[in-house]
Amino acid sequence: MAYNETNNLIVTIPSKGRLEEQTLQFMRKSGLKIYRPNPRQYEAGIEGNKNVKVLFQRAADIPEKVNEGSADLGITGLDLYEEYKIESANTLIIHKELGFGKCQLVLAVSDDWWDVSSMDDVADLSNKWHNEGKGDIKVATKFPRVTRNFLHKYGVYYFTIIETHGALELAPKMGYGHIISDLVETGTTLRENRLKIIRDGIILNSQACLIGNKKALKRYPKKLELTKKVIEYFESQIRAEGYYSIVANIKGNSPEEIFNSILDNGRCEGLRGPTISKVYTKDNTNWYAINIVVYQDELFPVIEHLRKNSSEGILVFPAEYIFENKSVTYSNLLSKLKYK
Amino acid sequence: MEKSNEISSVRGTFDITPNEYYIYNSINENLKKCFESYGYKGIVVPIIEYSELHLRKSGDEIISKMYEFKDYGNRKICLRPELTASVARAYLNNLMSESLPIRLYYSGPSFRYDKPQKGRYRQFTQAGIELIGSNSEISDAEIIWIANKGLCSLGLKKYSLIIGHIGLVLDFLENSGLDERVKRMLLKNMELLSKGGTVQKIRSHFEELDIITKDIAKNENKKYLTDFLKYLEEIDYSKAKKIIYGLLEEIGLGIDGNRVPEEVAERLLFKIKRKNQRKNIDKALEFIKELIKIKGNPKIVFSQINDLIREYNLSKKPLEELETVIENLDYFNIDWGKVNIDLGFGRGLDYYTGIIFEINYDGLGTQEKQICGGGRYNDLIRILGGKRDLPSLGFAYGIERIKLALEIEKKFPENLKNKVTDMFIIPIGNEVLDYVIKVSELLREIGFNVEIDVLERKINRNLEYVDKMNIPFAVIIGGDEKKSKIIKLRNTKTKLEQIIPLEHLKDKNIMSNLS
Repeated sequence: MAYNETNNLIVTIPSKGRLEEQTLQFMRKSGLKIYRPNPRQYEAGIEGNKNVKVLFQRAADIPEKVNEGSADLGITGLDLYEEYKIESANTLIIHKELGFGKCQLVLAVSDDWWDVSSMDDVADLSNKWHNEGKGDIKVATKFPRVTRNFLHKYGVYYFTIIETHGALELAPKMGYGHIISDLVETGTTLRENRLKIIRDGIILNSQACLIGNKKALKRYPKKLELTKKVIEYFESQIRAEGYYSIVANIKGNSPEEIFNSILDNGRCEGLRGPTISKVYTKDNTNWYAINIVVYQDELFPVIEHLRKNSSEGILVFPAEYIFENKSVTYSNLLSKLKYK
Repeated sequence: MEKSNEISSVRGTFDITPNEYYIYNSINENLKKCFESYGYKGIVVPIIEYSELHLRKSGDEIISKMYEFKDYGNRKICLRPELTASVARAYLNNLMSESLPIRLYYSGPSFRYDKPQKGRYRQFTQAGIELIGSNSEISDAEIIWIANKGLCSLGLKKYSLIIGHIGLVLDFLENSGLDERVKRMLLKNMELLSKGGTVQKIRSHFEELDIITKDIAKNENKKYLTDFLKYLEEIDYSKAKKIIYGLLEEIGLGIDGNRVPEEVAERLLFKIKRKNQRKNIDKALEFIKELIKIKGNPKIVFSQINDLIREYNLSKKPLEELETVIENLDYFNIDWGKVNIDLGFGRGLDYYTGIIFEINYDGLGTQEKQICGGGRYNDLIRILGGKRDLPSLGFAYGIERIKLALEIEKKFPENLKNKVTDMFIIPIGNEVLDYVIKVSELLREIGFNVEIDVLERKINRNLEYVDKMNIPFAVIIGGDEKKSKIIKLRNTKTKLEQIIPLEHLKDKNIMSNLS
């Protein structure tokens, strides 16, 4: 076990595929721009913060790396975390919804299994086969552990897990798995391969999550401090996702009058309420600047509404971060570290 | 992290150190003696078994907690979660030719992937008995009585016994027209109900699983469908199967995958029929609700059971059995203050068929209070491959919980661990070592447990150690002792020293005066 015994914070992130791309993008948006001179290098730095190091790892290995302490934090899929986590271990989930890498782990069968639509059907069929001496139902998956637990939960006991790392969609047709437990984003691939999802066979809803090593964060205040920064950026960025800041000039006699006129449909409330401030014009006319933050869906209706109220020069910026009074995720982390 | 290199024991397991070893040992010895006094003989079965042994009839509760793995030969193996199935298997494999009944006892580790806490471990010890080949009520009474007697023999007092009979609910379900899976689920839910679950909750759980649906006849659009389904139910089964299969083919929904088309049609038909089970399920839940209310003193509950049997037109056999068992237990002079009848518990094991019972100890947690459980399993041996049902029954104790209960009642003799060593030999100098070894072996032959100093400490340090460890005697041997062929025996308590010539060691009178 190579415990990271320095004051540096080591963050391990996926080294391959879409999850890597999305993680890098997410980190960049969070102000953690990764500095990697050579894309084949497995270690990288963060621009402007030499105390944070980034380690690229196979996503499936990340739970273990964090658990053994060779990394302090890790970003990986919740699916992988659930599959590879170690019971009563050093790892804790710091943020379980980073908002990307969304997928579902589901059970699916050949779509001509007309009689199988629910987990109870699976349980019944497996019993039937077992009683008639036809052997176990074979379940092909890359997630043996969570799949097994899920099947047990629904009273399916006569099954054999076939652990494969190839294309699972082919398993039923090729005969090495009757059922598959596989990740889906939209379900299109399954349908194209003539498979159907079992109605209540959704094993878990997954997305990228942030995990951390309990002991390291407890022992090194410096690491915790750096983690706080990371969390703050992550959280405020996730919160800002889809929000826009609007600045517009608007004509009127007083801030109150403008407030009353634009508020009449409730749309221009912003997060707490609009900011209205005087614009000191050369010709001494009464102009005010209004600043509000709105959600994506509301953007155009609000702009239309502002236009009707004789606004002009409407500037729109995507909100990069929305910081609240304090970070909920960080407070939760602190209480988990102290009381558990 | 300071101890990050230290390997701990696996979660949910624990070491029995010498401090506790003799406690466990004395529990086991006592129970063994008790079992043997009723003619039970010891049997040892393997810790690993084929998973199949437990999958067949162990019940969800146990199966989902089983340690299961594939061995290098690709066989599905499990660590035994309990011992009854193993003993039944051992009977089938080895003891079929012996005369019945066969009385067996066992003790050994079992494994369940449980949430560890005090009184709940992932490796725990079960000790118990099985009586194979008897269907009489006197054998039920014997089993229950021995379970009670074993605890008495350990000196335990504050436990209580619950006796039930799974036959009543099994009899009801047998005639309920419900399919096997639903029956099993209802049995599983019986305990939930008796522990405060509601019928509504169970019903909606069934709906969730699509076992029962809301009444489809109420849906106008489905009226014709309902008629059709009704028709399917009324006609001959194989004809109905053909219709379904033909229908699938006709509308182009063939089956080309890895299933037999008839099977798909068969299951579709089964599902259609099953959806109409709602009334039967409701009736069963209603019955179970009545059943679980029956608990308390034997004499009071018998009339209640009788009413229930009459109301639901059930077989009288379970009640008669229960009455006879109670009567027989009375011959044993059981303490009725400790006994309650409760028809609302199922023991969480699927293999029971008749009388079932548990012994609880209230000082342990609510989930961990059960220290013993058992009952009758008349069809287990057939299910495991026997030619026919072989009436059998048994029980098992949870040894760790019994130990906790004994601790609560402070039933352990002081300093059990220090009873081992009788004498500690202190050599003075290496040149006496030959003599020391000769003497020590002689003393061991006579029957003493003898330790020799192996740290080459000074006399005083050694005497301190002997004192601290509560060893009754120290034997000091130097050049003089060797030359004169004597030993110097020092009584730890009185500090008196006594010289004994070597040739007198075998004189029983002298030595027996020592202890």
